[in-house]
Order: sequence, then structure tokens, then C-alpha cells
Amino acid sequence: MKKLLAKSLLFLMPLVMFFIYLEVNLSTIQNSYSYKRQCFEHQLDSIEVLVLGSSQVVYGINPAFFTLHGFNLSNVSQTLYYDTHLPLAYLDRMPRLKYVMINISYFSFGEQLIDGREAWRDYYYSQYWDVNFPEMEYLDSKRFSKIFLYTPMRSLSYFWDSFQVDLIKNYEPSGYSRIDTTIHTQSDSTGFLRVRTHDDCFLEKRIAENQRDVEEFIRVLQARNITPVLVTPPVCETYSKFINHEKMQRNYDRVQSICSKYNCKYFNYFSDNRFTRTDFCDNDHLNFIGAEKFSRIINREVLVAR
Amino acid sequence: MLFNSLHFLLFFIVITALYFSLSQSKRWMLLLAGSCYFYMAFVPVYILILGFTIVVDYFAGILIENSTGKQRKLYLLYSIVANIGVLAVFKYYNFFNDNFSALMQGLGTPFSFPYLSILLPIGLSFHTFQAMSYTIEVYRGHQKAERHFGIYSLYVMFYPQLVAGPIERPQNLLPQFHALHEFDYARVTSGLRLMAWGLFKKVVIADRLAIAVDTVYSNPERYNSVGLIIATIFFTYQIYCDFSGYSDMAIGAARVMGFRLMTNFNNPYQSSSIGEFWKRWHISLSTWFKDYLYISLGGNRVPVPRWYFNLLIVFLVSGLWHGANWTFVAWGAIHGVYLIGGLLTGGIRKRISKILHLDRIPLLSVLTTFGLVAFAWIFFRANSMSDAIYIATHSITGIPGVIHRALTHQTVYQNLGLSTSFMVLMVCSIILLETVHFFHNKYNLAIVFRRLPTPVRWAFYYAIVLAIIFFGVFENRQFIYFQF
Repeated sequence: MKKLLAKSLLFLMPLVMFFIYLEVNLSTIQNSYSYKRQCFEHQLDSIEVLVLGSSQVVYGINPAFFTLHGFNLSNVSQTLYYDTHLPLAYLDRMPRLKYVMINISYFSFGEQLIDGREAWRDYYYSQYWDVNFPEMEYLDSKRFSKIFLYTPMRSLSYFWDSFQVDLIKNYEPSGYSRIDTTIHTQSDSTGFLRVRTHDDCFLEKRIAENQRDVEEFIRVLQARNITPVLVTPPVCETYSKFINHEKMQRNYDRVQSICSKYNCKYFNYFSDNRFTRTDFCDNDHLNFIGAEKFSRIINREVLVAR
Repeated sequence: MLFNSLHFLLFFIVITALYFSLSQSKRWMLLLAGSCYFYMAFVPVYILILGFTIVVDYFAGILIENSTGKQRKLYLLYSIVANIGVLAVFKYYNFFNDNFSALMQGLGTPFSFPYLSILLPIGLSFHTFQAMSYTIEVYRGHQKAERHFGIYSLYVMFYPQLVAGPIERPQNLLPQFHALHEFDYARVTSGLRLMAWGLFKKVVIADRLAIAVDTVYSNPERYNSVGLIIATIFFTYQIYCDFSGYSDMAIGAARVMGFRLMTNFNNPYQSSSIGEFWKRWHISLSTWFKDYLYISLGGNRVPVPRWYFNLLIVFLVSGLWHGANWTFVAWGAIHGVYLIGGLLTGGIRKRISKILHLDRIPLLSVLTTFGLVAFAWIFFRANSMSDAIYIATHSITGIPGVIHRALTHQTVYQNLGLSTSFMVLMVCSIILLETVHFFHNKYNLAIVFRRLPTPVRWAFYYAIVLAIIFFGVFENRQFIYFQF
């Protein structure tokens, strides 16, 4: 037994050292999660508007066009669970916070990361935000190791590149990420596939828990005199024409019932005709032109008007 | 708990360390508790089903041994009905119900029984068959009934082979739970080596191939015959590496603690006939069917038509054992037809190959067998019978078109949506696998390995460990055979 232990230790030592080296260096790489947290914590004292949501908000709302100090805490594929859980630990440290914008997309109420192909993102929230989705496997290596979080193969490629990788290209300190493209690739076929992808990740069984999270979050905000606002961002017509209208109506009814229950406002820009194809980079994401337009509209109609 | 998870790594280290630090009298308790924990990590409540079959078969074994004549047969029957009953309810109820209601619909009198909304308990067919082999062997007088309830429970629940075999026989496994297993450095390291090789096959080869296979088989109509054939060949290796990888890890984990589990795979894709393939593939199941079904039906000691019928029955049941779906039944039937066809045409084929001197090229029969086996896997993997028929027909009928494209200097290779480096890695992995098999056949690699100087041996170990970590897929992909 002693011989096995001694030899195992000897065998494992170089491996362990190599992995520690990798882990340490990988943890120095900034990604959208670590970068947003860092910027967010840096601005806590001054943030007046907090914007939450998924990629439609990441690329679609630029707080630089607000007259109040805003921060965009959304992230790609961020679900309502994280929208409503990430800010909780910080509310006490945000004395100037007046508005929190909760994004309600076509798919928001039926989505949880763990059900789909982007379940790996749960582990980024776990490692970089200390927020753990309850159904996440406790003993998953992605929860403890950066090598497994980034995937071992990608970690190895970062190692070959001497860890000189830029994963936060286009991200601004306000949390907004700019999409420069003005080439319009949105077509009916990609719109159809995009809606189908969103329909696939929408599970009826998730609606109740998401609605509960939103309502609880609204209660917490209102108890602190912070105004919650529900917003549905615009999409291109090549997207909206393929949606399930019955599902959309149920979403709308759900939001209306929440708003009337808690006396809060809902702003629906889903099919807003002020947005044209040139404002989008694809079927459901605004480019920098559309983002400026949308941010100014939000500022005018949601923030200043109140 | 999956063998390819951090959870299992920690579990294995703790259980093995405790095992060697406990006295012999307490080891069975540790293994039983560990096995319960291992099983309950999937769906805890299903341990009750396992508990039910354990209690039934434990008492059935004692009652069979203590009785004579018709009474013995009756107790055996009770046990078999209980085991098959569990399988029927949890695995086949909805399948038969669906087919029954379709039949009634066809007859113009729509009727169906209520749908049972339950999840199939992991590895149900494996431990049910292992439990059945115990009562049958006691009935046949080949095995004494086990009086120690804990040891008997462990026989059914021994964690390395609980959910995907090898399906052990009581004569081999039960006495080992009573024997003392000392710590043996050479045996332990040999077990660990086998586990590492099994894990390599699972996460580096099988799970990576699965990405390509899943892409094609989920939308077969998008691919030409080259794409379909590549995906089918990939699946042929995926299922082998997945299942034999699991078996290697199971055998290795048991070996570390001093238990000898039966060999489950013996280079099946190097078989030169379908008959030989079944002597090398999933050996513990094929011998189970041979010992308990084929021989009970009369085996080959019956008139020839009845012999063929027996073979077909065994393969149809084997197909159904794999899953409650017509695709599995079709897969079993295809193998049955292969075997019967092989027996019927044996003489002619021998003469033709002698005339054409084909018998001088042994690789030809290996490749033919591989092709036939791969073709049958289409039905095993396809999501539905219609998909299977589409893939099977289009793999073949598309070939002239591919040849035409090749002759007219057009591209025949169809991108499966994967990068070139991915495809290169896959092809290299398959070549590595076959090279290891080739050398293992010629020289016993375990012995060759032991004789290598330590630095060379360790270099191999490092290569395997690093390949597992950096090229492996760690997305908690279940082993294919867990569903059976």
C-alpha cells in the first residue's frame, strides 16, 4: 500500500504542478462574467439604473445614452433566474439605484440554462458570481476548476497562446457590448431557425418558478423604493413573423398580471416599427445603430418620462 | 453516478481505501453500503425495485434448494415471473401498450391502457438477468443457495457491474465475496491501468465520436451516403468504445479490490464471421442467452428448422432485451438472419472462396463481418424505424452517385459540421485503438508493459492521462448501455 501511495504521489506531482500552473493562469483571463462583476462592483456607489437580460440586452442597450448612470448587467443567454439573483447581494451597496429593468423576451419565462445546450454557463455564474442554480450537480469539475470550465481542450489552446487571449473584446465598462456589423444577414430561413431554437428551450414546467422569481425580486426592489420596470426588446420582422402568437399572448398576459399585482410598468418594443432591418445585426439582436436608438428610446420613455 | 465523473473518482478512492483498511468480516458491509450509494446517486427511489428482486430471489434460492420435485420448479417459476414482471412493468409496458392501441386502432376499436409515466431504472435488465442466473443455477444444482442476505444482496448490487455488467454468474462471483483479498501491488496497478484504458475509450473516443454520430442521426435526410456511412462507422466504434470502456472500468475497479469479473469483449471487430462476433461481443450476455434460453429451447439438438427457429428467437429476445423499441427488435432479427444465412450458405461460400482463392485473404472475411455488423448498428442507433430504413437504404443507394461524383472529379466527402482537426483526431483515435488491439493479440500487452523501463512506462501513463483530460469529453454523457 505504501509503495502504491509513494509511486502515485511521485507520478501525480508533475501533473498536479502543471494543472496548478494552468489553473492560476486561466484565472487571470478576463471573460464577460469576471469583467462584468469587476466593473459592476467598481460602480456600485453610482449606479442609478440597472439593466438585466440576455444577449438581446447585452448588444441592445448602451447605458451611455441614459441621462442617469446606468449599468448593463445582462449577459448572453442570461435567464430570469440569474437576472433576479445576481443583484440581490449588492442592493445594500447601491444607494443611488432607482430603476431596475427586467428583460422579458419571447422565451424568458420558459427558460433555464440547465435544460439546454448552454448549461455550461451555470458554472460560470457559480465560479464568478457565487450564484448556484439549485439543480446544478454539486460534484461537477466545472464548478471547481477553470480547466474544466473553459474545457480542457480550450485551456490547452490558451496555454499554447501563453494565456494572451481576449474574451471581452467589444465589452465596455458600462457592461454594454457593441456589435459593429451593419451587414444584414437576417433572412426568413435564419429567423425561422432562431425562433425554433427559442421554442425548443422554452419549457412549460419552468414558467411557474421563473414567474415566482420575478415576483419575489420585484417585492425586494419595491421594499427598497427601487422601481422595477419590465421591458421586451425589439426583434426583426424576420423573427417576429415566425413566433407562436398564442405563446406570446400568454407571455403578455403573465406580464400584465405581474404588473397589475405589483403596480409596475411594462414596455413592449417587440414589434416596434421604429426599428428597421438596418438596426439589426441578425434576426433578434440590435447592432450599434439599433442599440443607440433603443437606448435613447428607453431613456426618453422609461426613465425620463417617470 | 457515472464512471466518467469526478463524483465517481472520489467515491472510488474512498471506497477502495476503506476496503483495504477494514477487516474481512466488515468488508461486505462497506461494499453493500457503497453500492447502495452508487445506485441511489441516479434515482434514489429505484433502489426499492432492486430491493424487491433481491428479497424475492434470496428466498426463492433457499426455497428451491430446500424443496424437491415440482415444488422446486414452482419456486423457480415464481422467481422468474417476479423478475420478468419487474422488467415488463418498468421497461416494456408502454411499448406493448402503444402497439396494442395501434392494433386496436387498426381494427377499428380504439382502446388503450393508461400510459405509465415512469423513468426506466438504470441498468434494470443487467441486474435482473444477474439475479435470474442465480435462481436458475440453484435450481440446476450448480450453485448452493446463499444464506447470507448481505452477501446475496452484494451479488446483485456489486457496484462495478451493477448498472451495465458484465452479467456475472453466481459460481464466479459469490465465492469471491467470502474470500479474503489482500492488497497486491501488481494486481492493483493492473486494475488501475485497465480503468484508465476504459476511461480513455469512453471519453476520448466514444464521446467524441458521439458528437458526429448524433449530428447525422438526428437529421439523416441532410446527409449523402458518404456522410451516412461515416456516421455509421463512427457509431460502430462509438458503441464498442462506450460499452467495452465501461466493462474495462468495471473489471478494473473490481480487480483493484481483488475481484475477478468475466471478460466481456474480446476484439469483436476482428471476427471473421457473425458467429465469431457473438463469441467476442458482450460475452456475458451472449453466454447468458446461450445457457438459459438457447439451451432451454433445445439448442442445436433438434431438427434443423427448429434449430434455426431457436436461433432467431434468441436474437429477437436479445434485441428486445436491449430496448423496448422495434429498432432493437429489427437489430436482433438482422443478426439472427445473418447467423442462419451464414449456416445455410456456409458450404457454397466455402467453395466459391476456394475457387476464387479468397480464403488466402483472411482480412476479407473480417471486413465483410465488420460491414454486416455496422449495417445492423444502423437499426440499433436510429431514432425510429423510418429513420433506420432511410439511413440503411440511402447509405447503399447513394453509392453510385458518390462514385459518379468521384469519377467526375467532384467532392465526395461531406462535411458533418465538424472541424478538420476533429475528424483527424477521430480517425487517429480509431487507428490507435486498432493498433493496440493488433499488438495485444500478438503479444500480451500487460506483460510487455511490465517489462518496459519505468520512464517509458510512465511516459505512456502520462500520455493516457493527459489525453483523457485534454481530449476527453466531460459533459456527463451517460453510457449507452445504462438504458438497458
